Amino acid sequence: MFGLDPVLTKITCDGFFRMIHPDDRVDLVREFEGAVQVEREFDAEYRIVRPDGSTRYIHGHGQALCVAFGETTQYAGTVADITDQKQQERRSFESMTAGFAPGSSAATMEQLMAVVAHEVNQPLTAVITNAGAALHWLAGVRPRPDRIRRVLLQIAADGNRASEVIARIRVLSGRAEVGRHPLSLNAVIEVVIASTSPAMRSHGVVLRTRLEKCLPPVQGDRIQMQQVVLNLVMNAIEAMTAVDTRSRSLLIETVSDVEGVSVCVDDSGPGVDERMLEKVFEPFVTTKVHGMGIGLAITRSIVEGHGGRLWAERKPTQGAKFTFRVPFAEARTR
Amino acid sequence: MRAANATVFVVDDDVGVRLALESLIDSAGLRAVCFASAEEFMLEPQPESPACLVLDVRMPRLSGLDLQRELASTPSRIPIIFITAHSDVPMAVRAMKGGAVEFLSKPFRDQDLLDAIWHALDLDRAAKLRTAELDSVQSRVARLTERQRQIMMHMLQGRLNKQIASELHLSENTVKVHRRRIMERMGAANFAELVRMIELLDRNRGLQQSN
Repeated sequence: MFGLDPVLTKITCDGFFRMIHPDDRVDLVREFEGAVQVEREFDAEYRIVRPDGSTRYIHGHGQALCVAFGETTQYAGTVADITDQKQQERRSFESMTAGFAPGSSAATMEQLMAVVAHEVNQPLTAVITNAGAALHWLAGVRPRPDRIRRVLLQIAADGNRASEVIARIRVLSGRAEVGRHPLSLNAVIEVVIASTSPAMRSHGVVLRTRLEKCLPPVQGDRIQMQQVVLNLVMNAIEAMTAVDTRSRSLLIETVSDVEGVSVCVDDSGPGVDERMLEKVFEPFVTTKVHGMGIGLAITRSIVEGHGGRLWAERKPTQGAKFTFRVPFAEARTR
Repeated sequence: MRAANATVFVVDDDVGVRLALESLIDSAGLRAVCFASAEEFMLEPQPESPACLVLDVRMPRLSGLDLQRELASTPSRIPIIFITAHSDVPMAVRAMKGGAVEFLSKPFRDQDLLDAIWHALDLDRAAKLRTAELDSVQSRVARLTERQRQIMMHMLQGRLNKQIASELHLSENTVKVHRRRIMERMGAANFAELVRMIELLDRNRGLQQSN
């Protein structure tokens, strides 16, 4: 595992610490010494650099057995190579975020959430299954503490994996590390139209736009604003697929007033019931057969994160109209 | 224990789920053999002893449903339990039509999975016993001479020794001797047992193939 010749090499403590990746060394030494001093268990994830230069992820777990004159005489524990697991975590994150880059094909919040649900479901499945195994071992004629211990460590690892997924979503959904730049909502809309026009064509949706010329810029994150518009447009297209008796027409409009810019997405679908106008923004409320009911909740949270508002209206004729309004870029700097 | 020497194969690309399944199966006193991809599993020789396959539907490259289809074109009839993080009805229908034993959505109750595994192993055990019995009957039929096979066919049609003798221009005594030899070689204690053996063969492969 360490890429060393077992015959020629005798690993000493110093030699071991020299193999640790420089970025992890200080923390690991601190964790290790802390564990030795109070004779508690030691548990850490770190990287090593093998003699051949390759980097591996290691999960180490152990305990000092006895301490004499302030020096550990024996240390027993296990190390496991978790490189494959780490690579998988990175891959699933990459697959999770793929398709959400600007200008990529239309991916809605619902699709994002379906991916997220999958990514959280896997560690949850592992946790539940591992717990089942631990219970079986406890109930056995001869309980197996070694197995139970291993399973509990695995449960902790899977729990961490699930919480990492959540942490990444926070980044994606704008709770952290989001850019705030002046941007043109008309340009945002153009990008979304480009990525949704195949879907509109295949559903026979006729698009009209009424975009205000020389629209003043708003302050925000371009990718998040694209997600907002994209989600409203995809919702509208989906709503109109229920309509066969009249034309399917979509109107996207931008209007500025004294404080900000409003974007309206107006469809000729079945519309939103009066009682549902506010409810549609609540999480897990949906009118769709396959929907998770989370798209509009996230969309509203992004708009509010930009200091704006998002609401739905029932049109006197037919269809629904969703409008969001965000403040001008200057409004913040003024 | 009914689990003696049974093997549960697991194919799931998620390392966490794979380790957890291995632990659960192990904790139930069964042997688990895990693979990260359908391709790796296909390289594994299938055991003689009872086995079943716990298979994830969504995997990169070859999916679980692809593997099911691939396996259907091989002599292996290993019972499959599907597990999936996105279950949808058409997918489940496809899997069950392809002969799956069970289709479970992640996360599943551990007992549901174990029940499905026991059931699948029982099915495989029964199928393998039937195959073994068939092979044995077939090899016994192959040990009969052409004449004996001919006489056996007449016997199975309910003809008496006298009728068989006149039809084949043999003495009744010769037919009797052949009849005894046939029973010996086929390992049949009585005529009813012989009929059951040949029926089994007929139903599964047809007697023609054994000629």
